[in-house]
Amino acid sequence: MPADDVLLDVKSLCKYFPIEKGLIRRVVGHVKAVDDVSFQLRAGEILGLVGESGCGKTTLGRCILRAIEPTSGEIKLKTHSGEVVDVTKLNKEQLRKLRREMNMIFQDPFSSLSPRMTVLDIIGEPLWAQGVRGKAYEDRVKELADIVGLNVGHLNRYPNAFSGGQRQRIGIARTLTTNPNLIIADEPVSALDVSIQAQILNLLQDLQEEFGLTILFVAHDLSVVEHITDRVAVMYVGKIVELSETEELYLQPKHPYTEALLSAVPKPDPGLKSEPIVLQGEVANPASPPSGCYFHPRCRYAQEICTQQAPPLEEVSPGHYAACHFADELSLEGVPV
Amino acid sequence: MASSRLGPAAAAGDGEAGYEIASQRQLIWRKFRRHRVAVFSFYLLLVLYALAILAEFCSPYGAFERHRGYLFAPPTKLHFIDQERRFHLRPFVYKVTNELDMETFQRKYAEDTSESYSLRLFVRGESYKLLGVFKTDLHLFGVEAPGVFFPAGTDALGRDLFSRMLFGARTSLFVGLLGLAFGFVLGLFFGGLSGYYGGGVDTLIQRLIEFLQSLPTLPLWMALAALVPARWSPIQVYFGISLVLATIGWTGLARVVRGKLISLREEDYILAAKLSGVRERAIITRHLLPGFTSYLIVHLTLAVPSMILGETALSFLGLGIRPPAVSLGTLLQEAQNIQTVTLNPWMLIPGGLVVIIVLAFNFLGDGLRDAADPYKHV
Repeated sequence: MPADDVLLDVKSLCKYFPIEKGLIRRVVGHVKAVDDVSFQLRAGEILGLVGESGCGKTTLGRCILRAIEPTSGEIKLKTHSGEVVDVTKLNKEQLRKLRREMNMIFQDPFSSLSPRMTVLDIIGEPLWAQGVRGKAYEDRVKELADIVGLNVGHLNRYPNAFSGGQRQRIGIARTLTTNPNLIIADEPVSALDVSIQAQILNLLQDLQEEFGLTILFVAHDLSVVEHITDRVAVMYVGKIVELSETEELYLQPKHPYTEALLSAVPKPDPGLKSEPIVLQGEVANPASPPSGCYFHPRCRYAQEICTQQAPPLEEVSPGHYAACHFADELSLEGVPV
Repeated sequence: MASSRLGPAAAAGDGEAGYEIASQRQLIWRKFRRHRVAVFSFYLLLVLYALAILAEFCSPYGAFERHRGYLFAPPTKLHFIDQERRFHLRPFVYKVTNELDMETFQRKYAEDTSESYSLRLFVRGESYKLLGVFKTDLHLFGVEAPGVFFPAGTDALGRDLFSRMLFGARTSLFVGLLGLAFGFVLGLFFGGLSGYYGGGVDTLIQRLIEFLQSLPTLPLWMALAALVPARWSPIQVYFGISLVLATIGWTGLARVVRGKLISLREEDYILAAKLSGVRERAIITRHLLPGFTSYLIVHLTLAVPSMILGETALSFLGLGIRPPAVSLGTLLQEAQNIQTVTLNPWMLIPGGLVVIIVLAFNFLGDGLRDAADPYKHV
């Protein structure tokens, strides 16, 4: 049973995509996009989920909402009524009813808004799906438009009339319509200009404070994550390799992969000489990952044991988890926050 | 509070007021109106369909009305200036006479300038039922008897070709639509199944389509047309031909529907609707169907001419609509001999009408396609 303040408890979540070959579509292997991932989200926190593209962070986010059916594992969500439900065990109709408790902000503000619906109907869609019509529906949409900073007078327009940043505000308003507890933000700012990114990040932070939202913030950009998250999880080839409070993770990373990622973060000081750790080789192929620790072929601290045994995700210091055999021994370099 | 969040980008939404609140449909219509040729084709087709529907009224004579003295008469010349070089605002025709050339046994037609008949609107002629309801004998234009006016000449039995073309166009224009309607239902159904469910159903239907498309069209048509019983009435044959054309015509549409469904299914906004708890049926009606209606319209417009050509080809080969029923194909069938080309070239005029109809549909389809393309800015 999860602790009181835990909103989402993910246990051993796996998503394997079968690789099919030939005319009769024989399954010849699996892409382990999400491989035995466990973590908890506390109510009211923003958890960052970072990793290279293809590491499975988007898949993980979508599995939690069951936009993609997970292969195995448990996803326990505490609802408004305080009841804890396992999202993976719900049938279609039960899941549809639970949709008001969780929603998603999309990466692409263009393809995520239907070009054939007015902004009013786009924002109101979750409400429409619950059967709300008429004045209550319009009032709520107007309220939301005001909350996210859209001009209420523009609600009868179509999305083609809005800029990327405005469209993302529309997308955010849509996720808030039914007052969900859990929001999965799937790289909500990576498709936007840097100047707009700041606006949207501030908006998300304001909203989080105002409504006590719990957000799983998926990103590939550590500098974005730094400002907005309470804790950060780092993913590599379908697994979480490190999970900690944001500040601690940045100052004292415990996993060599995190160290390499942090060293690549650009520093806002032109005089500062940075020497990023350039990782050798390619990201491991999730269809045939290397033996032992998936990171060992690229790890500069790798030793014999790393090629043979996969390290489990263990608590190194209170609240700081890392999956490395030498997490205690290595003193890795972080970056000042 | 709200104003503090309103970034500079949020305020920049103002501009040409109409553009922002224009729906997809209005935008398409705006772009379409700028495509001159397509708009012209659209109105031309409207006129042609009106002429075909009101064929009895618009034609000077009935489809089977024979003029005994005028076999293979060339198109009657319209005159504005008479023998005394006087200009008449109302065009007129001279009396047409003919005599048999005893050497070649050909009829020679000549104008007898002593008698003239002016062209009039709303002339009384053969009686008919307008739209199958109102009994009348009014024709849109013509000349008073005993004068004759054949805008496109007459055929071997002395029937006015222009009138017959209007009746033929009715059959041909609507056989296309009817065939399309059948094909539309089939294509939407199989394409929908294929695209929505995917997997084994999809594979099966796609292989079936590939099989149908790999069959040579003409022999297949001929085989299917041979199945239409010879004793059927022209109306039934007409129906049968539509079915024959539809049996093959649906495959292209099914592919379009499948492709569109598959690409739309992957769109983020469909996933967003699903994650918002919208029911599957509502996703289909609210998002998927409106997502490709414009493509359907374009595809259908471009498919009409192939249906019309199909009917024309089948009738030309004597496999489709048979005389006495009139279609553009049967009219061309009557023209398929060397005598026509050398002596009575006006018998080929229905072929010109086929070309015009097909081109008009193609231009209209092009215009609609460009207008429905959201990435094309005119």
